[in-house]
Amino acid sequence: MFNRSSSSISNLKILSGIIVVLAILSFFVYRYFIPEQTNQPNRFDQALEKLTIELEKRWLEGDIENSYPKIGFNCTGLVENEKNIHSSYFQCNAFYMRCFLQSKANVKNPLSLGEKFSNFEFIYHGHDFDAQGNLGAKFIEKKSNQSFKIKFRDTCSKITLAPSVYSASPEENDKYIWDNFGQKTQIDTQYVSVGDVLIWANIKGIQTQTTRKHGPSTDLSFEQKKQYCAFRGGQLLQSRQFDAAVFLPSKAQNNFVYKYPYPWSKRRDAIKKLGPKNCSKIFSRECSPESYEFHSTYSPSWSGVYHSLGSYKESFDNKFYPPAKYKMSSKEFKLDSQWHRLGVRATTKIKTQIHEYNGRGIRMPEENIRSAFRCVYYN
Amino acid sequence: MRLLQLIITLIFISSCRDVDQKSSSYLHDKFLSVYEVIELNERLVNANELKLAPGAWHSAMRLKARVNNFKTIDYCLLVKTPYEVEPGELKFVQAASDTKCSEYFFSPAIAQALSFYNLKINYADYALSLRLDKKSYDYKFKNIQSKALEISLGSLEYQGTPDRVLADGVICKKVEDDCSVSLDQCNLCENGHYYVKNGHCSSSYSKVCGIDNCGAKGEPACIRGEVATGVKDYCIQDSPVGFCSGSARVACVNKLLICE
Repeated sequence: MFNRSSSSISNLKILSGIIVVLAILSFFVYRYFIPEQTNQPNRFDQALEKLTIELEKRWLEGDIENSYPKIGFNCTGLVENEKNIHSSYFQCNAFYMRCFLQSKANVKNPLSLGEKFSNFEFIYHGHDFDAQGNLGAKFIEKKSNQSFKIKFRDTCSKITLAPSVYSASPEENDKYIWDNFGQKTQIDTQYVSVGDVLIWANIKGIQTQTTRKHGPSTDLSFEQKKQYCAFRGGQLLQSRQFDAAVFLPSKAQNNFVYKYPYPWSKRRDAIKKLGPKNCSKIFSRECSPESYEFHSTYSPSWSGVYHSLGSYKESFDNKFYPPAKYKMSSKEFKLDSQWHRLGVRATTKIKTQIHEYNGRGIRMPEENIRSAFRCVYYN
Repeated sequence: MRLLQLIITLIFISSCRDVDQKSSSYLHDKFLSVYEVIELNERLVNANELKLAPGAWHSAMRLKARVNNFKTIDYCLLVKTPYEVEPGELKFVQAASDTKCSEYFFSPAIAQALSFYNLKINYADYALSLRLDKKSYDYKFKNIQSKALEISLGSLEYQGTPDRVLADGVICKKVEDDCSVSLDQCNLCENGHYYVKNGHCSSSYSKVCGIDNCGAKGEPACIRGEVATGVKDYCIQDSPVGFCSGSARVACVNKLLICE
């Protein structure tokens, strides 16, 4: 016969009582205090959400690990391993993103970390560009064979021009006064690059430069520049908009606009005080060409637009005076050149009154000018 | 002891829940790529209480999602309010973009319709939340939250009509004299868009599709602006609110400043 001691029976009763109490308590808590989550996203949805968070961060922040200057990338067809490229180039950059998605950017690709996405493995299946040149990356989930696409938009490299009264040209008069109230105006902070143009050219079947994708595009005609910006949903930047973005804001109460010739100072002789080696304020001829860093922050303006002076020659759509298209201030000219003043423009057309526009006579270039450009957007 | 076992068993059984997992995950997959939520019914969405006719169908909202390489698909969220002891009903239906949601009251749902006596629909911060009695359904719309990324589910091959269908010269944004916007679809322009002056609203401008050739003869006048010029009535010959290049002069034709 099996005999149980009285103490073990009472222990058993106590334990049973505790289990019953806990069961009853948990029943009431779950039933009445916690609402039913009947729409738990399944694991694919959670995994996809995590993937998009990772990819968005990578797209917006670019080469977070700073791999490029240390060891470069393994995708020379997409990103050349030239040392002098500013890290901002890799933000919102379709070529860098493609390099990254193909696991050639020398960082751990989250797509290979299957366990991070709840056992779902996303396979990069290739890419294409839409009608506006936005990168579209295709993916397939291995287990379920579900496919999807992610479109990447460039939200990195524009500034919004503040609504105000502005004045174009280097002259302080009201001849070219204007305002942008009621017009949302966004301007590229950097030049349009060779790589940007290549995306457009491939879609349109146009021959254009294919090497040094990180450099500014300088081989398009004026009309082609307009067509490129229209393709991107914008317009070729107007000269007066560039002036508005780079002249230090100095509007008097009666709409008179003071014009200071340099973007970093209200001193009219500021360039004499600069010294020969301050290439961050203006990358002029005195600066070593080998030291030029592409997509860099040379000559920043109050608005956030770069290359206000120096760097590359640039062309604009000048609505007030159409022949006056070119900013000649660039790394081709020394600091004492008359071109190194905000608002001054050049033309290749003869018999113009451009000296009236500039407020002074300057010897105009004779040959065709290879110039960079950028776009403005009214979204 | 046997009584104890019976009690514990009964408690565990009664705490089990009916979870319609298949219906929930199906709906969640559909709405992963929603990029726009429009036609919000304020008496249903974010309302403290439902003050609607009982026993009748109402449209709560329209959701637009991206599928099959960024083609658009529309869904309507429809609600039938409870009537006396009869529960209300909530369902999502697929809709045509040019058909009102109210046309779909008696259409079949894309997933199981849900019954309720108490309903709360909240839409805020890119998230939709449905509370039906004690059940909850939550959806996050990444495509609305993020300006940089957009997801499209389904086939990778292009199947839809071209995104950009407005030709150059077409007005894509129309601002009326009272500053109301009667048209706004410049994202459909084939070749960018630019501002023109064609109304008395001083805080906003209409837009036209195409490359900006303002200032040239036969084209819209470039805008100098009303604040810079201090002009109230813009629609006059040689209006200073606009400007032209070369020998062209600003004229006002059908309220539009042009160069002739």
